[in-house]
Amino acid sequence: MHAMFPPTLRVWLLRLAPLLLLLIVLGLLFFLVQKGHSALSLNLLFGDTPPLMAVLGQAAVWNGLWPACAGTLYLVLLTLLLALFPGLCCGIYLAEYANRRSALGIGLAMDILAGTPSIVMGLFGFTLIVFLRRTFCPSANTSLLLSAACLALLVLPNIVSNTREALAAIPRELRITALALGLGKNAMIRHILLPQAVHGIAAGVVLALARAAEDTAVIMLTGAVANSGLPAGLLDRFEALPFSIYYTAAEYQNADELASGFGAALILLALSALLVFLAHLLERRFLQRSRGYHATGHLC
Amino acid sequence: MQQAISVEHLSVSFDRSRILQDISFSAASCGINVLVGRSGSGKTTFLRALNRLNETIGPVRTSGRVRLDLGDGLEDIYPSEASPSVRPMNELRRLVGMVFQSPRVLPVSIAENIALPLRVVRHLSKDAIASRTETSLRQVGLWSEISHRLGTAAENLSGGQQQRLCLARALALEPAILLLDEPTASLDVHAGRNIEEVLTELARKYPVILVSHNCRQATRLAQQLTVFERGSLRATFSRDIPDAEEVNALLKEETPEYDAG
Repeated sequence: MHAMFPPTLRVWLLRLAPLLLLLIVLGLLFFLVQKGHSALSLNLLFGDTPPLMAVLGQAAVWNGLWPACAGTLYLVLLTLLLALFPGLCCGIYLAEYANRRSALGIGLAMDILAGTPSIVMGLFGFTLIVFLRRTFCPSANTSLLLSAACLALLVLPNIVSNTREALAAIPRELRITALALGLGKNAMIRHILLPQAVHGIAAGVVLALARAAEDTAVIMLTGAVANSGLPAGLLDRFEALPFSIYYTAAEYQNADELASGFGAALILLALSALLVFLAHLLERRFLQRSRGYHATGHLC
Repeated sequence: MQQAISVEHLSVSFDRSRILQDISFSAASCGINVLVGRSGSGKTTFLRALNRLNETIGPVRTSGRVRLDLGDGLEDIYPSEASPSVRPMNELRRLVGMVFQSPRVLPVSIAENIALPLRVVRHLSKDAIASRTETSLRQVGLWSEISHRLGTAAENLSGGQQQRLCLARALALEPAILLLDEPTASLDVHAGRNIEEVLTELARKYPVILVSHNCRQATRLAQQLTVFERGSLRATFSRDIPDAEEVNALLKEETPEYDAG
């Protein structure tokens, strides 16, 4: 690189890289908006049902995307609920407690899990249900819970490796300082290291969140359906935005239906953006609280 | 005078390489004990043997006897056949306050730097923490400078202020002994003098063990001066502290083996 490009060209190339990224994102957004803006309306979300009644769950929505939005939201939150705690614990164990051999073994298992294609995870969930129906639980069926569990397995490596790396990146001096102050190892991890690592951990959670929101292969085999209304419970089938998009793209009859597919894509994008924004907001609140920052300086 | 530290035949090895060899040392219950010696002579390892911090750094072997007065007379801090049960490590480290070479503030606010260990280690109430924060910051002469911005990041303080904050943090935990590893090495002359004044004041109450690379500072502050050489004690002066030139000469005339190695 040094020999090939003169310094000014190198700087320009480096400037070009983020510009290219920006162009791609803007291009994608423009494409989606151009194709989908005509469909964007309350009608797309709620169909003929009054919006307030639909949001409160008092009336069913049969020809709108609202059930799919709610389904995706439930799915993402349930996935995080299932994956966050074990993911965090596993990351902390690998970074702070595991010896080299077990860290290597578990790390390898995590890499394999991270490399598993989502369709394989979907098949796994589907086969699991088939197995359960034939053996212990004949009434078992594909459901919101099964989809969330399979997705949780899929996103677990993101949370584990981000937690692990964020903890490993903390300088040794900080650990020694904490220990010298009389903090035990557990207290050091809880009060000093985890707050320091929260940015890295949050990045893993955001990745997990985005993946859970967009994944289609897993849910189409484990519980997502085209038309079911709002999810009735954990053991019921549900609608989800990515599946609606896929279904519309595969089965559309006219230009309006295709436009509503693009509208759904825009809504999914907005929903993901909202979740990511909320995650960052939570991270900031947590950081401010755990670090004791406030504008004036009185003891509190 | 009553002894606060008694070390007998202390040897410390990391990964089969011996860092400290057969050190015997004692310190009174107040006053500044300065340790001097070239880089690598084992001063810091010795300091860390007094609060068992060496054990956090890597596989270490410590032999000999180290007794400290942590409030109830001299007690062993390493388990041995004679004294199989010793004080838990966390409590020992809380009672043996340590300040490092470069200021090591926690990446939290100024107030939280002092409050966090008090809350986590001592389980104190909010009011007790607030009053102890003020007392310890006054002890190091920092209260008037920073009391109006306790909620801001400690990393924004100047180097000298950060180092005094670290000292205040150690003091707030009510230690029995203070260890300082070249606390003025990364500071300018003025900030260094500030710390020295605080230390002189603190030495009336606490036994202070101070590692210094600066011969002038060492002779200025020392009530007892100990010279380290290649992991052993070369000399200890407790009455007639030599002047800076003499200490300098002492450090220079180390055995040729050292220069070769």
